[in-house]
Amino acid sequence: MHSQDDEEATAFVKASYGRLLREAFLLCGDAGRAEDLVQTTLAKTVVVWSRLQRSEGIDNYVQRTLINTYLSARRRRAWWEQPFSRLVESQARDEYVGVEQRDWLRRALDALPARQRAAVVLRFYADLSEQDAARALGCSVGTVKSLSSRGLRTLRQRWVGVDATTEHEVRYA
Amino acid sequence: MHSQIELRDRLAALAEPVKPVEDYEDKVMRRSRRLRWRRRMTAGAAAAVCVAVLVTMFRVVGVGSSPQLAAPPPDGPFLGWSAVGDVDASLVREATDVWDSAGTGGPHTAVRALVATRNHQQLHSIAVLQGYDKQGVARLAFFTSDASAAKALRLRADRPAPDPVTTQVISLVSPRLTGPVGVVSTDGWGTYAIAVAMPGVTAVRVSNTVIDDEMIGEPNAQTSRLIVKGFPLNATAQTTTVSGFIKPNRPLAKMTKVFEVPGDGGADDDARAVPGKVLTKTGQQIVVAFQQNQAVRRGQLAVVTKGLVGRVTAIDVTRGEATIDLVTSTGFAGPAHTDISDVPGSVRGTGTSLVMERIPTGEKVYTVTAGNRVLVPDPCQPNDQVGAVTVGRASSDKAAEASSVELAPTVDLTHLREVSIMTSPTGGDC
Repeated sequence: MHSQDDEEATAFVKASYGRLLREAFLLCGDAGRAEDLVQTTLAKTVVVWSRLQRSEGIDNYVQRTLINTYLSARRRRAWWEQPFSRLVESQARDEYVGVEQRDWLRRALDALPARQRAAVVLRFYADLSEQDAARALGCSVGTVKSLSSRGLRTLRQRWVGVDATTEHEVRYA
Repeated sequence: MHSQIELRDRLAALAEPVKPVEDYEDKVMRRSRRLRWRRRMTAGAAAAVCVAVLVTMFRVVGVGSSPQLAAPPPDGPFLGWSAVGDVDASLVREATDVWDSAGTGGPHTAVRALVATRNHQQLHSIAVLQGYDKQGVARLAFFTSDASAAKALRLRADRPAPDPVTTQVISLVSPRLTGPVGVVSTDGWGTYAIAVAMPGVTAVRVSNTVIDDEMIGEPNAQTSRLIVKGFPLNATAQTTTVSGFIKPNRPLAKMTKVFEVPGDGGADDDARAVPGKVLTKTGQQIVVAFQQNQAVRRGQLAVVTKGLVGRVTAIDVTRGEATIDLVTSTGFAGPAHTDISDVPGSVRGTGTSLVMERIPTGEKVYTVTAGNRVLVPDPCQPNDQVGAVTVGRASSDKAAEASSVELAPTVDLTHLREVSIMTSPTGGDC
């Protein structure tokens, strides 16, 4: 790679790393894995940097690579990394409601299927249009609508359950 | 969570605390360099595998430069070929004795064998020797067993050694290879062709136009440099073609034909073929030039590989020219019979075509069907079967009460360049 390309690529990495890292965290639910996902995505982008400058928008490419890398990792994990028992978790309570709600949202996102989660993050966090989300996911607009709708419905159902639990606990507090 | 805005806010709040680790740019760039190196290695390995697969495939399917037949250096005036198979030394001695005692050429010196094998399936013993006669002339001789004399070895042909540089195959085609010297076989399939090809040839094929294609058998069957093949008595050297093939040492590689030459005759008492070059041609006759002092006479047959061209009707000895009536000319007529079924009759040219007529009618019904081969006896041969030449094929089925049938000549009479005139072996009249 020429040094000029190198400099441009480094600048792009610096500019986009934070945004991508937060998006990756919402996809993975884990800061370490999010770092790994973003670095892999940006490394792939840097490898084809000179070609990207001649063709499509770099942001679109990075977005699509991030989603593909995430989905591929989930697929690989599903294949060779099978949990052999269910973790029994207690309802760990934070004393701060905000912390509790963030914890709940992270768990709720973790429970979503990978593509639904990706659709929710792209539509409601990255604020992509349905067309852009469809391009990033490599599917049709209709599929994006369906995925995000189902993801949203699942989150709402869980939210209602949490509300009920909270009211119940308040009543007996 | 009642609205999408609320969800967006909560997601932003969830992701907000996540901060990049230090030196993340270096980590990304290092990872990209590793990725690029890995991709190059993968591409290189894939290219190597593709090349290996292609090379293997080309070798398997036999694609590649066409093989060349390298001629061995001549052994002085002799063919510098190695012998075919194991040489039976006692057979070479026996053949040399026969050679020395036959005629006035012996004793022969510097004798070397091209073939010396006993217990051959068809001819028992076969020997092909090269050597100098007592005048120091290089000669080539063919020997086979005499079935009527306890398989004693007989000299069948003794000719000058062929050109050691250009010769690719030597052959002998004759109906006189199984009995006493000069005696025609009594077997209907008593004509034999012996062919020996130069080293490097992997298969030799001998074909004959007196046999229909469907009777030849498997044309690509494996043979060796030596081939011995039996034919009907009407087969001659003139109707025989010897082809040589080489096959590259690659699986699935195809055979490549490296030569195709007419057979050689010349066994004792065989009719001698005199080559004649076509000088002029009309619709009825051709005039050919032949070497002077040859035994060309009126009434002899002019033939090519595919069959009969016509009959010699006039000779200009001083100019060495012969006039030949074509088989379709009005001047051409003669006895004929069908091949195998042996239906008697005669053939006659009508000026434009050819008919077989005088087929007996009466109590015995003779059948001639479309495609049947009709032969004309060679007056220079001892009987009607030996060396009989194909003049044509029946164009249609003969009606039961009819005594004639139209024939289609087997030779393309419009494109003749050279013919062979079948003459007496003694040089006299046939």
